[in-house]
Amino acid sequence: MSINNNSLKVEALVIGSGAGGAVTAIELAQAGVNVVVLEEGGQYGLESYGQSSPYAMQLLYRNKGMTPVLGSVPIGFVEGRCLGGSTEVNSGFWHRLPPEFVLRWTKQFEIKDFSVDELKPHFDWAEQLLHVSQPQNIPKSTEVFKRGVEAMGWSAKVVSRAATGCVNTNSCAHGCPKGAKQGMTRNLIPLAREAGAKFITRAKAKLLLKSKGRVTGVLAEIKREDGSTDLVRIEAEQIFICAGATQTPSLLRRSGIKFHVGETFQIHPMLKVAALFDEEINAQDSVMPMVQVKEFWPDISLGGSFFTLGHLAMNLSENWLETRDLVKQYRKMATYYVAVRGTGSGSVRPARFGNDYSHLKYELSDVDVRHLSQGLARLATLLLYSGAKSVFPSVQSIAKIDSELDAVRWLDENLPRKGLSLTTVHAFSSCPMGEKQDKCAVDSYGKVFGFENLYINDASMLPDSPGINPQGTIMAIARRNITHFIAEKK
Amino acid sequence: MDLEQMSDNKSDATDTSATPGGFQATYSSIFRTRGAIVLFGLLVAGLLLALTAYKLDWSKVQLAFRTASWLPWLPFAIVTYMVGMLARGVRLKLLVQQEAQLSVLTASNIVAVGYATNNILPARLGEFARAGMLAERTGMPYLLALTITFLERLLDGIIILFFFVLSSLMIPTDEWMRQAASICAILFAGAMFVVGFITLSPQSAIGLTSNLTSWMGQKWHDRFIAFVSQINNGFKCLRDAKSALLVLFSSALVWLIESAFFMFIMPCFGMKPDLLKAIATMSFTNLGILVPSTPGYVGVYHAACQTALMAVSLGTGHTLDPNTAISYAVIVHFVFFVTVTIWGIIAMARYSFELGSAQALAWQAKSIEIKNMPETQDTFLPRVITTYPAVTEEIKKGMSPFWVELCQCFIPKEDILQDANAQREVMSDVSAFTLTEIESIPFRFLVLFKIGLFGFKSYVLLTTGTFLCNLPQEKRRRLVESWAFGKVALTRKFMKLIRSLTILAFYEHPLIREKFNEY
Repeated sequence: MSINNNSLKVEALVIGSGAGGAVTAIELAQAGVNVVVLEEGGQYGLESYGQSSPYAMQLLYRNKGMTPVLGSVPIGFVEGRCLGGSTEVNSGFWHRLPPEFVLRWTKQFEIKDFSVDELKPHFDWAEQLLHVSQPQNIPKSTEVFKRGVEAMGWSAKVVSRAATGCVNTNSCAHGCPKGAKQGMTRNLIPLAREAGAKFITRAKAKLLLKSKGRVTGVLAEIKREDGSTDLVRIEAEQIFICAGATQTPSLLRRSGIKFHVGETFQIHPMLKVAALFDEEINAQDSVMPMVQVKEFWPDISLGGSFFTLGHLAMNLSENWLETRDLVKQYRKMATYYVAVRGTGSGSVRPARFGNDYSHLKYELSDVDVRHLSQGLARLATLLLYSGAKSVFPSVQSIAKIDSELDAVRWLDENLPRKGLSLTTVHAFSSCPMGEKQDKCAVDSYGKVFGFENLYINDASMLPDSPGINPQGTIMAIARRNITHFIAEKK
Repeated sequence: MDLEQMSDNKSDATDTSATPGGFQATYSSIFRTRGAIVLFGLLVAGLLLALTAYKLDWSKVQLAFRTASWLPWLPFAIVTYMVGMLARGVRLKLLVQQEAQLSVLTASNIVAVGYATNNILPARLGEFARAGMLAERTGMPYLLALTITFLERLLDGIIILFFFVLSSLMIPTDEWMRQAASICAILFAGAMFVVGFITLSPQSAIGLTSNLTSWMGQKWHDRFIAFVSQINNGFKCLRDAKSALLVLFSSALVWLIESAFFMFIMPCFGMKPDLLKAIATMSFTNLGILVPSTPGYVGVYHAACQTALMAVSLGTGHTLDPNTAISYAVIVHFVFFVTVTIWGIIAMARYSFELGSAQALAWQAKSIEIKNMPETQDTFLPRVITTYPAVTEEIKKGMSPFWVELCQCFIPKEDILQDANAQREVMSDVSAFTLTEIESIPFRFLVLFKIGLFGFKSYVLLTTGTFLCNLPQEKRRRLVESWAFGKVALTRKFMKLIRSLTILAFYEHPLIREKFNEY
């Protein structure tokens, strides 16, 4: 790092400290590169985690949790904005990228050296650092779900988690107050710091400064403790943008880099369903259900959802006049989801007006609606088979489903688009990687086309929707790319 | 406020403490640092005074003064001018309402101090003194106060341009004035576009500035970026449609009252009071004083006012005598000068704000504090281009009864909590959360939401003849439910945001969760 009279110059500047940014930072730092990481959110200790949803939304989430994905069916989207990014507020569910997708992406996007074997050491590395393991204590909400899966005879699995010593505080989405869930702040960021990486929190990259095929630095706003904000220039030899699928394309486009950037945004649309059982489930006192139905994967996944009194009420609120009294029976309720691998078209654009927002668009395809309808039919049937008295989908005008015959109706009929209340927590593919220059924004290792020192290393480079919780895939590919970069530079 | 001032990184500290020295020291200091511009101003003023005086027949000027009828017009004019100062206070109050609480009188005093300083010190130092006093009175950072003052003056310029163009088109005037109006119309359109662009699209403004200035090298690129960023920051208040309309309306009102003041002097010299002519004269005069001149704009003010009045008097059938016109200009200037200077000095005395200290504050505070960040976290020291100050006095908006009542409509009818205080606490927290979250949605959706909110309020008013809060609770609930769960998808979508947030916040509230634990 050198400081001249006018600005600071670092060897590598990483923008973002989530699953992609933390991996990039640790690898660079351990390779002896002088690295600075800018994180837009703040750094919070465990004492700030595990609070109520309203508190967590305002502290740990982007736009206080208000980042809608617009389209004919608006979709609620949330992502973390704090040191560690979304890994601090996700479920910690862990998957390896299935071979089917490795092949599919290689074929469709012509990604070089992209195979299960190539990715294996990177998954191994991440799983070891994050203590990825099979959960030991299966909560009641998982047990009843499993019962339904067995009754249906479908394939399903208990999903591994990046967690160790989980004591079921049911706070995954609010930051784990026990430090059991292995967000990036638990292990990777401390290790990166030990190796010399510098993390600057409350630092928002505003604009990339370019000159003749190179990005020379960034303009960034850094909020200080006294509430003032400094606009700073940071010059860097290499720049890695790891700001996530919504922010990376916005920063690039705002800086005039638009080649296939932000045009292929993908999500996993999710439909929440509450179920009322005869027995006490006490989902509010345990971690979310951990079994996922894989029978209909990759198009449709069924699984368990985060549950609190407030979230239950919100899920019921589409038909509130009919369902509001149910909240009192919350001990006998749990919530589940249908997630589909999005096949619609989406985009990310920096806001032209107002503050520094990203405008997210996703147009639900007919196939998505079909899959959501079939998913609801299957999930409702499963839950009714598992002992649920009724299920309550977040669909306006469908207050409840009482019988299997009611449920299977949606195998053949489409849910009303206007009535759908969808959410998502998975976003990717806004700057796809690969050698196919008619659809990719970055090459097989994340280098932005047209720039010799600008790289992307986060969820935005995943070429397509993977149909699984993406943290593992993001980390493995990010490590693959950064080790390739380091090897090349050496 | 120029680029040098905005990004001068030579100054290590901003010492806003008063420097004793009095009037003489103040003047010496100004001449030392800005001698050229002050001398240029004096030269322009002297030249214009000489040109004006050369054409006058002094005996006719004396006659005009002798035959003038001062009553009741002069007192009217003085009172009107003072009302105009209060209107300026209202506008300043509106401009700073997000950052500080300020009474109209204090705000008017701050404006008067600025005007008075401009009348006493050269080089428009009053703008800086005004910003200094605003900072001192509100506790807001000087830099923010300076940006607000800049915005205030910019709004003045835009409104004056608009008035000038409008009035020149509506009344017969000299050809030169029409041409000037055409140029002003272009300037007005340009200014509106620039202000609109920077206000509504701050990110694009910074990006565009960066692109346009990157060839200039780092130093100038960063200076321009700092300049645009500061303006962006100061224009924040205009991003809210309601605030923007109020500010624009109050600005228009300020200059309409100023025009009325010009109009009331007309009958003193036998002219028929005519608001349109007064608007044209006022706007041209105020555009004229943009030219550097002496403290109090002596010379420039008179020349501009006389020229404008003669030009707008064409339609009366006879050309106005230049001697009468200059007499009019002298009185207008006299009323403006004396009234605001006395007001400003009284305000300074009241707040113990000495001329020397005003000058010192203005002069020394102009250089914005630029320093490296303290060594934090990982000893990283990026170079700062500019700083947006922290707002020191955060104003907590009181939760309006409307929001509390609206949110209440989504809460179960039965009282989960028996204690009325606890109920109030929960509803206050719930509505505060709901409103805070809604204000966080992207700008364009927030605009749509506010349109929806306006539609809902109008619907309530039209269908019930009263406001939501005045309705009985049961009726209020029915109305809200008819929108939230009715057949119209648009109203359902609008209410969904409020509904979901309210329900989430209510059931997540510690008092409610505690109660539910008992079930």
